[in-house]
Amino acid sequence: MRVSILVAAASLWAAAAPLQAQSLFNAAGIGFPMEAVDGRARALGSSGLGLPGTSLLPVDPAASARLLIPGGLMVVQPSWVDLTRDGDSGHRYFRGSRFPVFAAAYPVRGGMATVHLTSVLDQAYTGERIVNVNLGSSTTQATDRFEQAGAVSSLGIGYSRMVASTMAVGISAGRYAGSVSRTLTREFGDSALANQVLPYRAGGSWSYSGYQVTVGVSSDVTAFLRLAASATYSTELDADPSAQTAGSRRSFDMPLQLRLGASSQLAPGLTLAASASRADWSGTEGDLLSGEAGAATSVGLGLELAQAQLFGRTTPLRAGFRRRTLPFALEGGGANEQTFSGGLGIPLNVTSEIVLASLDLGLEKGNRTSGSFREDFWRGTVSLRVTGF
Amino acid sequence: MRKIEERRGSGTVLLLALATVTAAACTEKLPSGLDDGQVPGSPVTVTLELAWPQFGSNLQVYGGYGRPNQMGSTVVARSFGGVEARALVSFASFPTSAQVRDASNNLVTDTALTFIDAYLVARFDTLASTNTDTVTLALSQTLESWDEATATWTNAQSDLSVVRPWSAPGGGAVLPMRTRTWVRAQGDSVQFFFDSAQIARWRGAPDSVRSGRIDLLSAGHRLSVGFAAVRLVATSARDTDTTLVFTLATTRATYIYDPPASAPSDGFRVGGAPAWRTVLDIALPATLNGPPELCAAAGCPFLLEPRNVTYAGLGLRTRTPPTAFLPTDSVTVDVRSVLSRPALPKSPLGGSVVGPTGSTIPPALFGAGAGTRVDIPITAFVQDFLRGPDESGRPPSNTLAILSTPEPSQFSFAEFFGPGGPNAPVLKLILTASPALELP
Repeated sequence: MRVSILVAAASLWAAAAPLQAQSLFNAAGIGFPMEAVDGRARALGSSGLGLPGTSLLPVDPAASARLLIPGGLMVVQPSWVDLTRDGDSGHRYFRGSRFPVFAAAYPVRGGMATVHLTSVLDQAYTGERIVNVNLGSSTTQATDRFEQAGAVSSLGIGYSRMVASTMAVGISAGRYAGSVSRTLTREFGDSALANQVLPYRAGGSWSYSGYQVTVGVSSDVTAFLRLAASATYSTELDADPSAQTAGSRRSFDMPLQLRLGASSQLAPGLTLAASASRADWSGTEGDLLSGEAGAATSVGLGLELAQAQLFGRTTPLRAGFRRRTLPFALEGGGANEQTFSGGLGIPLNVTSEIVLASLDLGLEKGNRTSGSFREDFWRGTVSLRVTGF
Repeated sequence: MRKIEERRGSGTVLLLALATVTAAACTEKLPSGLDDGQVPGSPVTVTLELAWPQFGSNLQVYGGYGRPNQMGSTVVARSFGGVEARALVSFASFPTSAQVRDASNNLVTDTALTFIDAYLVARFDTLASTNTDTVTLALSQTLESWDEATATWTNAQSDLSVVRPWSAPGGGAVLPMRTRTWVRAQGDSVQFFFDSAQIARWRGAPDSVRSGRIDLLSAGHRLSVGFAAVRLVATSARDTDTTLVFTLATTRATYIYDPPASAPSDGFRVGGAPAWRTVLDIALPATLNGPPELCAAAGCPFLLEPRNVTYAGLGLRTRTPPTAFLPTDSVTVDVRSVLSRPALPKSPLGGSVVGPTGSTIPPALFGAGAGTRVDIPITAFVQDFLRGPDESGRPPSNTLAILSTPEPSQFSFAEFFGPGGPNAPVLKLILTASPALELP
């Protein structure tokens, strides 16, 4: 079984090595909000709160209190996206992987201390434009190529503990990190001055900073019902230009994020999970030079069949649906994403009914729309969770 | 305690499949829109031409770079635009032995070779030669020693320590050997055959004697001799069935000509052998207040930065040089920064700003096509100039030298109109600028 864990870890690491983009919506506003959830939550259409069992997800800081022993979580998320637009017969296909969350927990003073690295906003995308340029004696085609590379991430620490036999609370604090570079290049095509006109390059890079605090509570209201809630407060997201950057320093208002999640055992081995979240980004609109920002809401519902058997072992099967609105749109009228999801959990090492290593897979088929833009995508989420090290 | 049984096989296969899927998604393909809607900002590209007073000053022409013997070819001319030119060549010594097979088919060394024939073969560079029909040439043996590096029309040697004139200008006394006619339509070379007395004179003679002078006897032409060698035909008493052929390579080759070209009173001159260089100072405005499209895109006054200069070219108009030095082959021009103007004409030069292949100008532009505008790219020079002092605080050179490459490469040279008049040089700038890129 150790071989399986090593293979899983290697594949996750190899896939996560480059931070890559997954949506043209990265170009909208200050980026595409990424959710730090694992394969199980994805498969259940959940925001990651109030799920049965234990969790290391930073959106549910109280959940780790139930872990009791050290644990770690790695998540990788490959996706395949097909972009189309009304009135345009062409399409763009792109693919990439990202790693939404790395997390680890360790028991400290009767509770659980956590550290996590999460992705917050994905900003990578490219654009291209063909123009005609007059070079004096001739006119030639030039290609303007824009590339934005980077992301906002968060590095945080947290602490959680049981405050009653059925209730846990948690808090985490994090610092925004990451950077973005924006490069605009004009390359000149063939002309009488072929190979003599040099490309023009302009650009800059910014480093992100800011702070956020998340508090959460999780309670087993009854033996069959768990409720959880969390809220994240952020300072402004500051973007400081490098010394060589002509662009200015910017600050972006970050919204208060509220989340609610619940799970209920409908029958032995059958659990219903539901979640909702809201973050009002409209305050950020005033910080943007162009574009709109609005509220981002999310609702999700999923079922987990915990006693299913696959390859002769207990393999939880999951299915879910999720719909959310995105804070930034490519065109006016807002942006939406909805997904149908499914997945399974693979226990890799179980001792004394404690899962020491497990793999959770989530596969989503969904779409994102904004005005005339539409992205149809497949998104996989693979998470490896280990405990007891 | 119960321990769930582990089944490694199925789990490993599944994980390998997952690894394959995730690895497939790893191949980066960044999202991009279907149109240019996601490209922020719009650079503007404008073309400017600065007149000579706006960018140029201190135009000077210097001569004397390199020597004719460095060209790799020689020149002969007779009353061509008033110029006479003669080629001087020396050859390696005769072989003293050869490996032959004797009657028993054994390989032996024969030191008693009999030279039965010899001739000098001269091959012409037809592109660089002006004749279209038949011309006559003469080969003579030089009777006065000469220095390959410093020989001129009047002096057999003229270095810093020794000036030794010819007994008569043009190569001094000679011993006529042979005249030949080169019919251009029949080939690109001629052979000057030696008589037995000449063979005897050159065999065993010192290097200074095994030397010839090639004269062009047909007036009104200039020929370029690209190659010369002596071919020897010999027999061996040890192997009477075999004829041996030897080639004596050129050991020294140069040419002398008269009169030398005088420095131009105005304009640019590039090339020749010894070569000419043109030096000028460049100045650029620190800021621009136009054209309007540039101001609209990036604001004015516009601070000119190196990255904005996507092209800079020195626009020169060709001029016909003196007939004797009119190019018959392409002239390749190089531009380099002058690292120490006070040290001119011996200032060291920086690297080429044109590129490794230089800027090639067809010969027709100096004849019937005179007055044609040619742009010589100097983008790297202008960018360095705008970049300002380097890390050590040393200011960039504002002086550039225009020269031929390689130098010297040919007898003829290129000329361009200088400041003043409608054909004055211009500096063409193609500038690209955009507003500062901001976050959304």
